[in-house]
Amino acid sequence: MSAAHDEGHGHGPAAAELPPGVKLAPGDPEQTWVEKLYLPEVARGLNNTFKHIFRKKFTIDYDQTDRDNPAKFHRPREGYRGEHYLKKDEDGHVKCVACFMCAAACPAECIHIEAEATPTDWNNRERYPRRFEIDMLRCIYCGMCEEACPVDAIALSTTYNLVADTREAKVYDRDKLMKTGEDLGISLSKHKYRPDGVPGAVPHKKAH
Amino acid sequence: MSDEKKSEEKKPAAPPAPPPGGPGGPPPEPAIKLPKAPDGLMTLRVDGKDHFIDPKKYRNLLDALNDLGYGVPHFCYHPGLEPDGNCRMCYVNVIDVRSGKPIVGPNLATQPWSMYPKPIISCRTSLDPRGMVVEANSPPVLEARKWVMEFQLINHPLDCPVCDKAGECMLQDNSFKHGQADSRFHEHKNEKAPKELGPTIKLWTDRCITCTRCTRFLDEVAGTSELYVINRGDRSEIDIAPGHPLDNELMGNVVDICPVGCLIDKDLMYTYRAWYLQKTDSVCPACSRGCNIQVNAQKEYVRRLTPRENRDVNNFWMCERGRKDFRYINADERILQGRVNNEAYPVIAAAEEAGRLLAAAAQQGPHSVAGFCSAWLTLEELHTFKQLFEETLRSKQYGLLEQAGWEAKEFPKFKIDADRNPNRAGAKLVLGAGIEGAAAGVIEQMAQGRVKVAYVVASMPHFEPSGELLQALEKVETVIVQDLSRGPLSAKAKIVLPGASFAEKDGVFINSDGRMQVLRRAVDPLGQGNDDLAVLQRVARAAGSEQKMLSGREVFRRMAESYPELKGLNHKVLGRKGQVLGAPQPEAADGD
Amino acid sequence: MADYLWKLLPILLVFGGVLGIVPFLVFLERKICAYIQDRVGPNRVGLLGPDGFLEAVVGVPITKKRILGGFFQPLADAIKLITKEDFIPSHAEKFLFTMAPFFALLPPFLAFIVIPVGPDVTLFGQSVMLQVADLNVGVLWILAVASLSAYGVAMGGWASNSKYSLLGGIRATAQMISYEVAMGIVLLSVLMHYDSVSLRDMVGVQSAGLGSWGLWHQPVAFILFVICAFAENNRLPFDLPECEAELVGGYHTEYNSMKFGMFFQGEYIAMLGMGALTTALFLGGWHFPGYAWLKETIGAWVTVFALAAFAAKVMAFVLFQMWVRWTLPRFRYDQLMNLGWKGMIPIALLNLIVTAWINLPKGT
Repeated sequence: MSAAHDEGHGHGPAAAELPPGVKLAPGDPEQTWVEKLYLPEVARGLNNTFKHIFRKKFTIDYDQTDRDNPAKFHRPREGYRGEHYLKKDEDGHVKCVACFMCAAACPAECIHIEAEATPTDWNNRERYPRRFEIDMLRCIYCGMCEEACPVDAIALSTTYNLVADTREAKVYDRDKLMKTGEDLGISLSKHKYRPDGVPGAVPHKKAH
Repeated sequence: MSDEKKSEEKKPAAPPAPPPGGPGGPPPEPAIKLPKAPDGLMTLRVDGKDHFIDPKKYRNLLDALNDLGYGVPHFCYHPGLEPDGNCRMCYVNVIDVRSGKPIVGPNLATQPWSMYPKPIISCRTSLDPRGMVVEANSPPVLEARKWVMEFQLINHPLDCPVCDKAGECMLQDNSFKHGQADSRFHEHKNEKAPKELGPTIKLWTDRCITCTRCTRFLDEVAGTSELYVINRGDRSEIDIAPGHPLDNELMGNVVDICPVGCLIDKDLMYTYRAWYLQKTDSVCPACSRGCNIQVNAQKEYVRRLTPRENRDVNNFWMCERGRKDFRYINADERILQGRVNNEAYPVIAAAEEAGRLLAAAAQQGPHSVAGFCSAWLTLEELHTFKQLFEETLRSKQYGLLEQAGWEAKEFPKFKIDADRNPNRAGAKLVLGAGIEGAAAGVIEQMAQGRVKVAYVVASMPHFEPSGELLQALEKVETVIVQDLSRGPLSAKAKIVLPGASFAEKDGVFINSDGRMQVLRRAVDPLGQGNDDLAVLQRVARAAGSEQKMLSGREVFRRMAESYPELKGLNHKVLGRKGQVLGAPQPEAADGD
Repeated sequence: MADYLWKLLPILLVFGGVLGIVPFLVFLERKICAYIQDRVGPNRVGLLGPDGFLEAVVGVPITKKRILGGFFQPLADAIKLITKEDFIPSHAEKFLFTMAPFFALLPPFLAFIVIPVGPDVTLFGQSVMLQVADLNVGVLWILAVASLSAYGVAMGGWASNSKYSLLGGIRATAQMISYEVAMGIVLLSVLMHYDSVSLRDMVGVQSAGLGSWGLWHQPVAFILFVICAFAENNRLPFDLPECEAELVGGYHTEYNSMKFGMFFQGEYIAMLGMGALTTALFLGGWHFPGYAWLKETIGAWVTVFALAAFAAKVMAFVLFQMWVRWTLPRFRYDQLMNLGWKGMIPIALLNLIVTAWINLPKGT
């Protein structure tokens, strides 16, 4: 297509107006009749896919029948967002302070908490969740609850096998969530209730 | 709070100063020419914008600025209390009209009108009827507020996640708007242990910003003065005198007015998070005073009741009796469905059964049906009840159940009524003044066994029916009871219908001053979606009434046509604050 | 009477074979797809071992390792499809909605009637023709029946009362009509070459060794026919009626359970049918090189080899269809129509004229 032709129709910048060194991007190149037949390209494509049939497969067989065989028992990388668990403090109590931040952050509204004053023998804070339930069927595994938690009490494990036989079994209560962490051996929270200068749940010496 | 600032404030405002041109000369031309305000108004120029306001309408500059929408932040100032001015958050710049500059130091020669050396607190600044120029959001003002904010947060523990006030906390809001993200404070914060101030109020001492709203409230409104500030400087804290706990009928209000989460009511502690609460304007049903409240509900659960402003009734406050009296709404004893012969029935089916029985009994004569309503029902429900008996069943045999009174109490600026029937005046209006004594006659008739079917619409919490009533009900063949919770009344009943609490209704109460106030539905009726009005209408329809099912709003609109006292009124005209019965209604004309 | 009973043999052979093989074509397709995409594909539902069928019956896996993992996936799918709730959307036209799957399933079956799958055999003194019916209008029958399957698709699309389904149905109709024109012209030239309309005669013509196969005599017709076969079967690169990316599922968007299963089955049977037709027309039918020699050596048992040769050719064609599906992208609608009307039909016409010129002496 010539520059003059372009000018005549008044659309597209004419070649003369282009700054030096700048070329118009090529449009669709004219196809030869062999190319228009498609068949040679189809043959090339078939050749390509045929070669792939014999390549090494990318699939990881996460067949969970054999826990000891790393090729069979797939462990996701760090940061995979699987089933939730609740962490514990040094005394073995649930770390959660029932602040509802996770419930507020949750886009699926699947976290249900009821707060209560702690029993008198817990001496590092005043409030804990009497009830803490996650409806795993609603959960979208976005990890916002973990982000929102000010005391590092909830986290997502790498457990990805998420099936159950009933809907009820997929509503995890506090004890079930704590047990998940215990089973995985990652239950203890590294967070201290009194981190200097870090906003968070600062405890009080209890009045009672 | 610095003593220095206080002393500056207390300096005489404008000692007579010689005009610069010498005595006798023409007064100097002011640098800022304010437009002249209409009569009775003053010109207030805020951030370059002129407003004509009535200086008598506002108590101080802060009120005026916030009413004009400038959102001046504050902690210690509360419209229901005397201004104190200790938090220093409400800084604004006042500019000298004469010189056109913010006043940086007292120069009596050039600034004779007023002299404020630096940003001043607007809550203690009265309006100057000659006109004022104010900077509410200029950089120096914002800078000053930022400093104040930083000081307020120095000893604050920032434990918002576990604090019940989070979400409705003035410290959070103002810190968000005026504070900075990081603290420059590297030293250790003061840590003070929480204290029990009384049977229900707990003090998180280290959250306190010493605004003294609570002490001022107890001094001015309650008149009991349990709380005061001990110690000085950053060690100052709120405390009680030994042996004199914070225990009075208004103590819950200090939790409401506390700008931070320092004072917490242990009865309500940890039961809610502020951002989940849906607030609905309503009226407190605990006594005939009719305090204006907001029902704070989370889904179908009422979490707490808070007062709202109505200067004609309760100002900003409510008493402890009313505040804590909401647990019956979601109690286990609530009747949630109909029962016929001790068998669970859908509400509608049970109501229709009740209506059929009433109609059949009414065939045998007006004395074979009897009814009781209560003064806990709204005007609309009472009207529907009256229609059911007088028009459909053609019987005048009905009476009023009354809640026994309690001890009245008077505070310097608050009053609790002895009468516990919130709509007694309404019952008198709808059912006639003689209704109060009618119950005895009906009970008499029942005791003689003349009544076949009795329909008792109680819907009262804590109602203890008298022995005579219960005995008389024994003699009645079929008792239909509509009540909130299971109790002695419903035990006598053949048909039980669910009632609705005040939080589930749309309707009007008339308080002891004759003020009509609107309740609005805060939670869906728990009785399978039927409130008292719906159940009454269903009963009436099954008994033969041609009336359609109507909302409370619509029933009131129709009542306004038949009751001369309600002429021209509807829920919308009554508005948030209500109207006094029989008062001239200037608003009614332009209200709708 | 005995004649009719003997007639049952080819019927059972053809229909039993077709119906039996379809589920495993699905498995094959999924496997081929997975392998082309460097995946493993279905490998769980096997016979023994974990996730096996017998585990489902017995309750415990019988072996620790999976045996025939994935091979019984089609069976599991079939059970799922059959036991699913048969749901008809409330807004659908119920009668046509129910009929459409049958219209999609039946025509591909009917096409098999005229396809000779093997030579005549003599069993117990009775000569049996391994062809359900030797219609003297064989190719025309196939054309006629193949056109019918457009009705199933169009009906399904219209009766669903859904925009996706309707668009899919319309596209399918337009596409099938367009490509049938080209296919008809191609078949004309093929008919000229064989000088017959009966498929049996055509296969007979190709009996004289590899060189007599139609493939060599009508190469252009072969290529055009294969392309048309793809378009007729709504297979990629011509699967515009389904077109997941734009039309959700095309004409079967609203279908589920076994109704969907019938559409699905219909598609695979049509693939087999086109394979069989191509085999009969161009690939020598059941003939294979060395047929005559083998027949002399082992006598009537050669029929088994002939049947196997026929099946192998059909399967090769079906595998080729699958291979192409997972290689090529979908045509745009205008490209599809351009190719059909501006490419295929002119070339087919040209081929027809050339064939006519070549075969002119034959007819006179």
